[in-house]
Amino acid sequence: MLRRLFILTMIQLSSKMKLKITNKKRFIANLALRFLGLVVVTVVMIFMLYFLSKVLYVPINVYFVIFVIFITQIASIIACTTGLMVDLYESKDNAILLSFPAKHDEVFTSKLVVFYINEFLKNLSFLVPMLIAFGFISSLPFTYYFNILTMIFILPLLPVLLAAIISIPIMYIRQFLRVHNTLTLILLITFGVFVFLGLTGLLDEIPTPIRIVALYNKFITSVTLFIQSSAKYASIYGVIGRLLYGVNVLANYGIVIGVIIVLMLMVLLISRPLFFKLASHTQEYAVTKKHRGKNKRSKSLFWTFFKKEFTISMRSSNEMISNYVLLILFPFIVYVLNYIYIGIDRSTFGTKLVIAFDIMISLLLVTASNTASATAISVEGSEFVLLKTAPSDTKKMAWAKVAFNMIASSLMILLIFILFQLSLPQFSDPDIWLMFVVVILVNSGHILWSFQIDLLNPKLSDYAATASLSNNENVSKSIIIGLVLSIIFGGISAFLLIEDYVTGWIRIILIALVFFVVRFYLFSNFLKVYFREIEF
Amino acid sequence: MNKKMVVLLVLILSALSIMAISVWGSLPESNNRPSVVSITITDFDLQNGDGDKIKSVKDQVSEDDYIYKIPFTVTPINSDSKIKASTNQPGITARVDDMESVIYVIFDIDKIGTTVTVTIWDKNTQISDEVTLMFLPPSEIIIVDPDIF
Repeated sequence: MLRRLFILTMIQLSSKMKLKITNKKRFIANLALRFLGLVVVTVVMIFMLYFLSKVLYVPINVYFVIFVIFITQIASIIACTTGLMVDLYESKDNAILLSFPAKHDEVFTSKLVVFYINEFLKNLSFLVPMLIAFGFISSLPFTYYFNILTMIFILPLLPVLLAAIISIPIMYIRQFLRVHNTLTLILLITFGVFVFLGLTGLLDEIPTPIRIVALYNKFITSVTLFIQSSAKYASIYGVIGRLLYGVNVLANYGIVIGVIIVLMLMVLLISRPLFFKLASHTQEYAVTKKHRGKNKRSKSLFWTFFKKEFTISMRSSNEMISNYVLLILFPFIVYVLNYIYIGIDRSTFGTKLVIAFDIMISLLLVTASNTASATAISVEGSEFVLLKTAPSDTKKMAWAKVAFNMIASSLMILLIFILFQLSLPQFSDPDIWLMFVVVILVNSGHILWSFQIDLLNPKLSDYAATASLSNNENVSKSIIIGLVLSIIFGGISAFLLIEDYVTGWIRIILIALVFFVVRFYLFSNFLKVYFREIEF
Repeated sequence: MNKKMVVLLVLILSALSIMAISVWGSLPESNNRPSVVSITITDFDLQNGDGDKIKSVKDQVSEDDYIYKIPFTVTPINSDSKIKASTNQPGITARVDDMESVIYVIFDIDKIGTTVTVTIWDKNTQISDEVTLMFLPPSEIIIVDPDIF
C-alpha cells in the first residue's frame, strides 16, 4: 500500500515540479541560491517588522504573531479549497489515476500528500522567514526556534485537512449553481447590495469634513486594534501562537495534536468515501433542453452572430462574471473613493484633481474588463476553421462580437454611473455625465484595440489544446494598453481642466472622440485585410 | 499583467490620489480653534492627595481580554488638540483614538498582572493626565500619600 501511495504521489509531483537530479553541481547551486533567498526574505521581514514597530508603533507581540499565522492560514485554506476542488474532483488526471491498479483511497490520499508538500514548500519560503524575523525582533529564547521546527510540519497540514473537508459542501454548492445561472446572478446581486450597505455604514462613521491626519491616526489605531484583537478569534492558531511563545507548551501541543487527529478522522470518514462519487461525476448532461429546436432561416448574418454571442454569455454566466469582475468592483471603489474626496474640504483646484483621478481610475477598471475582446477570436478554438468555411461574409462575426462587447460593457458602465449619481448626490451631475461620455468613448476605442490584438495574433491552437485563457499574452497586452490609456487620459484631463474648466471638458471629449474614430478606422481596415489570413 | 495586478494598482492609485488631493487640493484648516484647556481621564477607582488616579483592572484584563479602554475628555470640545499616549512599561502599548476619545491599552501576554501608568497629553499645550492600572481589587490598593511626611 505504502509503495503504491509513494508511486502515485511521485507521478503527480513530477508533473508539478522537476524531481530528477540531472546535474549535481547545478542542483547544489540551486539549493544554495534558494537558501540565500530565504536569508534575504528573512532580513527583509526583519526590516518590515522594525518599521511596523518603531515607525507605526504597532506592537509586535504574541497577538501579532497569531494574527499573521491566522491570516496566512486563512489564505492557505482558501487556496487549498479551490485547488483541491479542481485537483480532487475535476482534475483531468483522475481518469488516468483511477484506472491504475490502486485503491481509490490511495489516489485520494496521494492527492492530499501532493497538496501537503506544495503547502509545506510555500510555508517554507514565507511563514518560516516571518517567524524567524519575529523571534529576532522580540529577542525570543532558543525554545521559540525549536517550536518553529515543529510548526514547519504542522502548519501546512491544517489547511490541507480543513480544505479536504470544506471542499465537499462547496463542490456540491458549485455543481448546483453551475446549472442554476439565474440563482447565481441573484445571489451575486444580493451579496453586492449587502457589501454596498456595509460600506455605506462604515463610511458614515467617518466624520466630515475629513481631516486626513486625524483619519490616518484613526486608521492606524483601528488596524492595530484589529490585529491585536483578532487573536481572540483565531481558535487553534491562537493556541499555536501561545505555544510558540512558550505559554503552556505541553498543554497547547496536546490541543494541536488532538485537533489534527480529529481533522484526520473527519477526512477519513467524510471526504474519503465521497471522493470517488464526486470525482467520477461530470456536468456533461446536467442541463436538459426543455424546448424543441427549430431551424429558422435568419435574414441577417450579423444578427445571427450577435444572438449567438448573447446565448453563449447567458449559458456561461460564470465566465461573463469573471470577464467583467472589475466592472462589478467599479461602483464600490468609486463610491468609497469619492466619498472620501467629497469629505475633504477641497479647493477649486482640488475639485479638478478629483475629476482627473476619477477618470483615470474609472478607465483603469473599465479597460481591464475588456479581456473578452482580447480573446474574442482565440476562444473559438478549433471551431474557427469550420466557421470560416461557411459560404458567407464571416467577418460579420467579428463585428457582432465587437458590438456585443461594446453594448454589454456600455450598459454596465451606464448602470454604474446612475448608481454613482444616486449614491453621491453632492457630486455635480454635469461632471458625472461628462465623465461618462469620456469613459464610454475611450472604452469603446479600447475594445476595438483589444479585438485588433487578438485578430493579429489569435491563440486558436493554444485554446483548442488547453481550453484555458490563463497567461494569454493578448489579455496582458490589452490590460497594459488600458493602463497606459488611463494614465494618459487622467493626465490630459488634469492638465486641460486646470487650464480652463469649460473648454477643458470640450477638449477632453474631443480627444476621446478622435481616439475612438481612429481606433474604429484602424480596426475596420485591419479586419478587412487580416481576417481572411487567420489560420489554425 | 493580469486583473489582480490592476486591482492592486487601483488601490495604490486611490491612496496616492487621496494624499495628492489632501496635500494640494484642500483648503487650509481653520486656525480659529481654541487651545486645549484640560485633559481628564474619567475612569478611575481611587485618587491620592496629589491627584494620582488609580484604577483596578483585576477582573477586566486577562489572557483572553487583553485590551483595556480608558475614556478621556478634552475641553473645550472643538479644541485644536494633538493627543498622544504612552505607558511606563515596555510590552504594554497605548494607542489613542481621538475621534472616540478613548485610549486603548494593549497588554502583552507576559505583562498581564504588571502595574502600569498610562499618560495622556496634548502635544500643542503639554497639558496631561495619567492613571495607574493595578491588578489588585480596589479594597487591597494602598494609596501612598507623599504629603503625610
